[in-house]
Amino acid sequence: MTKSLLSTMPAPAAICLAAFLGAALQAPSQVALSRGHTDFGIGYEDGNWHLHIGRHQDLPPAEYAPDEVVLLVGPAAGTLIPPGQAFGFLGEPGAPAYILPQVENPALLFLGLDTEELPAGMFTNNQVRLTLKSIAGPGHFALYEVSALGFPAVLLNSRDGVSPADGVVLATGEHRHVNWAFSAPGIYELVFDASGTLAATGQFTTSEPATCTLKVLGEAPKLHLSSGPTGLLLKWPSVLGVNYIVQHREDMTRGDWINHGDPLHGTGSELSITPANAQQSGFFRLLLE
Amino acid sequence: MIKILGLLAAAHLTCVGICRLHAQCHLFTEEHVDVLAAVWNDDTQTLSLVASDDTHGGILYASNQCVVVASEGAQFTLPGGTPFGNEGDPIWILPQSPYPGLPYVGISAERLTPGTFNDPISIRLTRIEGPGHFILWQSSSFGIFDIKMDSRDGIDANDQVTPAVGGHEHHNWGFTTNGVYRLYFQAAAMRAGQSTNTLSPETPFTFHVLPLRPFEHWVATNWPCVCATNIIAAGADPDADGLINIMEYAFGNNPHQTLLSNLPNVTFVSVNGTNYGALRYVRSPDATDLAFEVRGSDSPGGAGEPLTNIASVISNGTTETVTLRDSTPQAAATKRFFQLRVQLNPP
Repeated sequence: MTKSLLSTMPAPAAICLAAFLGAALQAPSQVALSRGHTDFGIGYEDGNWHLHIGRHQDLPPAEYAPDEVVLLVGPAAGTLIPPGQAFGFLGEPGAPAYILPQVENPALLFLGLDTEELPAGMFTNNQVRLTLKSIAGPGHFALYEVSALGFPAVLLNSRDGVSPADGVVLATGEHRHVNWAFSAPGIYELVFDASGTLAATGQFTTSEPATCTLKVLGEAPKLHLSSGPTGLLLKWPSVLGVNYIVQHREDMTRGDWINHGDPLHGTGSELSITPANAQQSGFFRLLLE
Repeated sequence: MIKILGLLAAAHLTCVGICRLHAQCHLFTEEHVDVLAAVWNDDTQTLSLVASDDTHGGILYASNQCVVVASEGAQFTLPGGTPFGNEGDPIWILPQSPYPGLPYVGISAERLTPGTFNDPISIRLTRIEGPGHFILWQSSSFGIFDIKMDSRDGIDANDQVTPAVGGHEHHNWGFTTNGVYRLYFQAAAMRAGQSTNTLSPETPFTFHVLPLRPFEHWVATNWPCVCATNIIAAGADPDADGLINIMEYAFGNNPHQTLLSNLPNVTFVSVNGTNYGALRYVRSPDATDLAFEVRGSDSPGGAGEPLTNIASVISNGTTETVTLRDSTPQAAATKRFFQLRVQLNPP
């Protein structure tokens, strides 16, 4: 049997992430966030710190504990470090980087820092500090901002190790968008705490550490199609920690995409699948999460 | 008979459109304010642009109820290689990221419910009044400049932003020189299921880019939010006392009071035993952007000649009294006419 007109469609993989894979591929207690205006929020109420992930675009706005979500860095985040020294803190010019940008890209998470819940006068100098305590992942992480005139300011960078100096002072009552940059695809666990001196008592207080999981999906993989011993064989390179789901439909532009089995977990090596009950013709795509 | 004429004013601040006078005026100096917030009124079926004070719970202000102040801290020096001017030129920027001491100015379609309007909406720059140019841009993660509006090459349909319905954006608001600017914007949004755009009124928002020039400062002090030309223009006379604003400003008067105070008057001075007619007038020493000229002539409409002989300058504290004597002795003329001219120097 000969299959005809099989197609790889890497681009829609990114587009469809948010649409219907968000809850489908995560453990029930975790939500994958792939797009939209989202903030790492710092609050303090009744003597307790409140670090959270806020979703401004949801109606009503949704809020999660940091460990309740996986923040996805989609394929559209992939870029190359530009020539010159200005962005050398990210790596060598020409090397890949994966960046959730300070300016919203509708295909990506628009991830900000939010202290708007902290009223003026609560903390000394109306400031708190967000400190990176540790990082686990396949590459480096940098948090930085680019000014109006194009100059980068590095707020955090794990490339030179993580030390108590890896903190960023944030004004209270503020909300800003920054660049979240990673040097390689895979899963990153960033552990932060927040601290500040309470103006009323002079007491210095530090939050419990909060772990944020960011999953850098990497470039959209090319789906390779061939005829295997038991039928059609689909193959693609995988990234450790990234989940893949194969979908198909019979018409290029119409109909629902049908899942082929459960999500496959990336290993860092090539993954393959032989779709059962493949039809005479069809279109396949990969969704990443 | 000696007659005095007070003449000549030049207007640089004009405003037409939907400006209205409001008693209250709010200055945004360091708030997170979405100056261009698109709002739909379901009752009146109208779209409008207002300012939303997000630092204080999203309080809304009409455009003629608020002013955005860019303090001296907004002045930066351009490095080489930008599209905003020559290296070393000054530029005033309200940045896309929060910056200490400056307003954090955003653009918002958050108050439009997703699904009720097609995505995205557009907000166009339609006009600019001010001493310089206005540029709106974003800096990317790698410092690439994405210019959305730029008055330097004229203003057309390309000078726009297109926020997503329910979305919120921040940009760099750049001004090429200091002064008072009025930027006019118009929003266009297409309601779901319709085929034509709903337009907001053309709406002026006022920016004070510091330092203001002296006359700008005088106007901004007396009418901080007003942009109606029949009130704030140099040639306007809002208190209807016969003295136009530029003269009230020149004499150090209160333009809200119907008082003909500090008017020039005629006197005589004696120099080495010779008497001369003279014009005595009061001027505000703060009005450094004004040029005063006194002319003397033999007829009311005569061009005459400028008088340059300063008889005295006496400080009164907030004002000073200047006396300029005629060049023609009193005995040599049967009548003389003095004219005080005041001109606002261009920025």
